[in-house]
Amino acid sequence: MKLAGTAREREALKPLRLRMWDNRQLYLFLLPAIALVIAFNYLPMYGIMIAFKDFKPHLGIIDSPWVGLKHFDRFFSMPMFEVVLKNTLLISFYVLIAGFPLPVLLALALNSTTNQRMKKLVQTVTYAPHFISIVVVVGMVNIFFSPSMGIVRNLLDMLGVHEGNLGVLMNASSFPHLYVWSGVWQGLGWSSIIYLGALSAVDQSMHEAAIIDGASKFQRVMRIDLPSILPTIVILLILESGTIMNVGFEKAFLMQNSFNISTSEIINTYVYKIGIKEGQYSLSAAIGLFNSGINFIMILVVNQISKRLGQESLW
Amino acid sequence: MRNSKSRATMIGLCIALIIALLAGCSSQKEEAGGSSGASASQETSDGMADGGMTNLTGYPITKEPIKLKAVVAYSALRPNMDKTEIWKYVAEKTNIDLEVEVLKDAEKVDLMFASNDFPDLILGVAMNSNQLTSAAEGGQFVEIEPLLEQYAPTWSSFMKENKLVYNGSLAADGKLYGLPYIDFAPFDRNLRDQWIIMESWLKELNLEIPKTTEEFKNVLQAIKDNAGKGTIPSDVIPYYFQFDGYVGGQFDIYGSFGVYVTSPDYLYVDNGVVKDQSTNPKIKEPLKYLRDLYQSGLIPPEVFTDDGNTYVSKISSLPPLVGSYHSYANRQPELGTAMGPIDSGNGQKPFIRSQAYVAGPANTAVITKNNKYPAATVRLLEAIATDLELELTVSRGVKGTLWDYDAEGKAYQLFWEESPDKMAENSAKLGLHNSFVALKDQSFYADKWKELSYDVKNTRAWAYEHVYKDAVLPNDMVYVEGALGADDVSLTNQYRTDLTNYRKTVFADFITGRQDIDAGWDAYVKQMNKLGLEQFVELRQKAYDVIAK
Repeated sequence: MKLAGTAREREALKPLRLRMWDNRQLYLFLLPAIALVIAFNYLPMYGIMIAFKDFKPHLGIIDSPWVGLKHFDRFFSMPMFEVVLKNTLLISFYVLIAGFPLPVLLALALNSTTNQRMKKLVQTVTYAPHFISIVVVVGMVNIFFSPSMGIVRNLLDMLGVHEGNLGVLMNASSFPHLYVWSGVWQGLGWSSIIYLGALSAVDQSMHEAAIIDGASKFQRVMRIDLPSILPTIVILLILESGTIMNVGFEKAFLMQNSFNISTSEIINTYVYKIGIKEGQYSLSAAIGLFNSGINFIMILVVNQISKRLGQESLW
Repeated sequence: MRNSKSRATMIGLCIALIIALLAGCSSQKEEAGGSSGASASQETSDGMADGGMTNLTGYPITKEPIKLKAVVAYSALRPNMDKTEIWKYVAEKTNIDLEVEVLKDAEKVDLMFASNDFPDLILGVAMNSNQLTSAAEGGQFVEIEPLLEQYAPTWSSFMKENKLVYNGSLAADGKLYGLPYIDFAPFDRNLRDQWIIMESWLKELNLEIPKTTEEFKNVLQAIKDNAGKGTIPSDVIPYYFQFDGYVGGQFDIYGSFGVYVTSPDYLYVDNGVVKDQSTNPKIKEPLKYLRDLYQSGLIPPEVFTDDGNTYVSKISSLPPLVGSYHSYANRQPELGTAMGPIDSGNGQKPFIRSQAYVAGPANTAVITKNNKYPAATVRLLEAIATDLELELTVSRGVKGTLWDYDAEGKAYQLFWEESPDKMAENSAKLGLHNSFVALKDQSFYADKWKELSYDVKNTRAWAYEHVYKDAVLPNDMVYVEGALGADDVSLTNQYRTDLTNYRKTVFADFITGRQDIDAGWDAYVKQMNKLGLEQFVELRQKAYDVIAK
């Protein structure tokens, strides 16, 4: 039987109000953040209702007439709905599968190298593409892979590997690969920074102990480094899965050409073509809400899986 | 105690915030619901309008200097539309001081329409029909037609006589809210793209400018065979276009085979009936011709993959890289020249595309209900249409720098967009061109303006006069459209996107030989119909009827 607990336990027994008062300085620090979230994330949410209304600017959000699910209905009944949804999901899962593990591998490899100059060089080289704008990246892809006069085609031609026109830009099936791998090239180094940060927090004494026990470099990476950054990896994976429907509009739109439309038409580009240009705010809001809904479900699912597997979770 | 006090403060703050937000909305609503202000222009008995401020005739337009706020969308060619010297001239002459704000991007324009935050006068902002109709429905704009009858007889009669311009300017509610920019120069309106061929190379190869499809192919082949010799570069592109681009596209090849297309949607008008050409079996012939050119290596695959900027940079290359291309302007006037549409020998008359005499663009001056001087504003617009010096100053720029009078009293150009360096150098003296109203109709070109470029070889005017005049598609075949309601517009866009995506892919496959044209044709037509071709053409007919009625 416990008569008197520790100071901490006694503290926990106090009513919330008193505890808040005791820590009022800390709550004061929290206040601006809460105010920001309320003002910029929650209050504007009332605008979501235009997805269920026929929004007319001169009537305002409140007075525009309700139309129920009309805009959703229109979106789902479009003949191309299935195609654009399929293209969107295909690209986003591909991005996730191809793009997610590589920065982790790069970070582990960089962390394990003993050659500091090499490490710095690789970091600079892999970070650089991050600063190139999407428009320029797409321009580079189009110029490098240009069918009859691109650098790639000329190189292959010189080496005698390939003759005639290079088909990369001319095949619908190669669009997802171009899209994803150019993205991986661009984002690889930058995304590895956060893992490098996590790796720097790994206790060096563990490595020392492992070396004394005769562990090889690879064993140390697998048994010490990887488990240490696993929580970071899992959290990032959960967050990433919450952006599954946000396939970059600009890049897909800019990369479209006559040959690849059957695979490059994604929800965002399609909506741009059929509606947003004409100021159809309600339809655009409905489709945006649909995307957010899917994203939200994905976060919940991945978070739950992670929880079940005994890993980190967001809540 | 103090704790509950701070909580009360918090709640109070929240409530205040919410009230402030709602107040913002409701005050807007009140404005929107207010009267349209169209009646603010009644003439008073002493021969003045706008509550006595505006004189009914002569200069200055207003008794005392007034200020009007205006907005215009940014143009890279004329970056200083807010600060240009012409506003000083306008203010001194008319007593109307236009305070112009340049909206840097389309989002700012969208925001203006979404927030109902309008100035006194809206200049060219490329508003779409939904924006126009919605703002008009909300009573934000002043109906301009009664004002024209009262204060602007020139505009009034012009709009009455030019149905295409008038109907094309109407909002979906059938009312007129703005005046257009009109430039009826025949070499501008009556011709879409010039078809350029590199004359200097033809001379080197001792060849004539091709007149038939057969000759055209032979010329391209000769250019390809002589790559690397003379001034022909080794990586020469014999024939280049931007596939399915209405500007720079391959449409004049279709016209050469008698398949006339006058809209990027593959439509044309036959005696008032809008017809589709993309599923017309006759288009197989030009498609086969293009396939033939592609397979002979005379068209590069880049026509399907390059974007507009790459297209322009390749055709503009100096020394030239391309043997023949389509473009609004000749990019190498020293070396290339215009060639006519070519005869396919199938008995159909070859035509080159023309454009209709429509506004370009419409609604470049829209008076809003915030404007306290609608009569004065309309009188300014009328003065621009009738006073040559005012018109050219507003439209081109400062007299003596951009244009001047000749001995006969006709105006002529000193320089314009063909000289980008001078344009940049004098950007603070430029007029607004098609970002504001102007009335350069046929009589303007006949009586007031001396076009010097007709005699300068390889300008657009020269090409029209010497090459295209008798080969342009008749105007009544050109597809034009008026404003439809929001639902029709959104359906049109959906059909258009689906049809265009599919047609582009299949035609690209046809031309590159991945699909056989004859074998694949029926399946293609079937799918086009499934994607709503018939409904799309019906909607396009509806839009045509709005403007051509």
